[in-house]
Amino acid sequence: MFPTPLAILIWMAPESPWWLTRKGKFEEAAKAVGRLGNKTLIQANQESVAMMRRTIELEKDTSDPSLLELFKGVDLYRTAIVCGVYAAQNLTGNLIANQAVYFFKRKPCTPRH
Amino acid sequence: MHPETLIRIYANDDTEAGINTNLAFALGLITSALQTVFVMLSWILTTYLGRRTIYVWGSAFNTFLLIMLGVAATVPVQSEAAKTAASLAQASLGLIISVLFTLGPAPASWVIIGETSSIRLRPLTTGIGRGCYYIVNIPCIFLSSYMLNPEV
Repeated sequence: MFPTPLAILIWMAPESPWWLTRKGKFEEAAKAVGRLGNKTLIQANQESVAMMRRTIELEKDTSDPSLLELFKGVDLYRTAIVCGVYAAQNLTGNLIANQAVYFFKRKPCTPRH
Repeated sequence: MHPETLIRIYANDDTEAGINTNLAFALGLITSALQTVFVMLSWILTTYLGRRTIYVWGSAFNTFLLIMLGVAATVPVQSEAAKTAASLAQASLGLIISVLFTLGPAPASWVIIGETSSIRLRPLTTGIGRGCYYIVNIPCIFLSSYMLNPEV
């Protein structure tokens, strides 16, 4: 049942600052950063967008990505972090979060003789 | 929530239950409602705390509660009253763990997954990460069938 409300929400959602920066809409990107963050940090919006522009320029490379690159240099750390975080979802509550009701219903362990 | 979870609850009778079906179903609904609220609270939390803080401390605290849940599930019980107390302890810890998971580690982990990889390699990194998730998921599901079914 989730895809329908999700599709509606995604359609109504504001654009991400990263996407706006990549398309060269820097003013709108700064506005989007402001909507996401703390209002007292509003002057930092331009800096955030500048940081995004720099990152995008640094990573601009049109060659096809290959699987081998995932295991080289800095990207190895990135791969390890993503894999670790993904795998750890199983270990800190995913099972209980998804099967809560059944868990509540479960019979307590009793010593067997 | 998994639909199969509900089916299993309807299929189960009361005879061997730790807590009765109506209470379990009510707790399930309460958990889902609280999870929704706590995901929204996590949006507020991220404006005050960094993702690293939320993720590390949230996971550490949840690990501690999971160990407590394990203790409540394995402590030897003799009397009926102690049995009920142990199941209620498990049920409340289960509720607290699943709700806290949606406040801290769960949203933070999706943020980390989405932001860590370089933009050019993002689809590949995320794909490999999802693969890792399933590799760890297999033993977890295998073990959970023993944890959740008294008959196994």
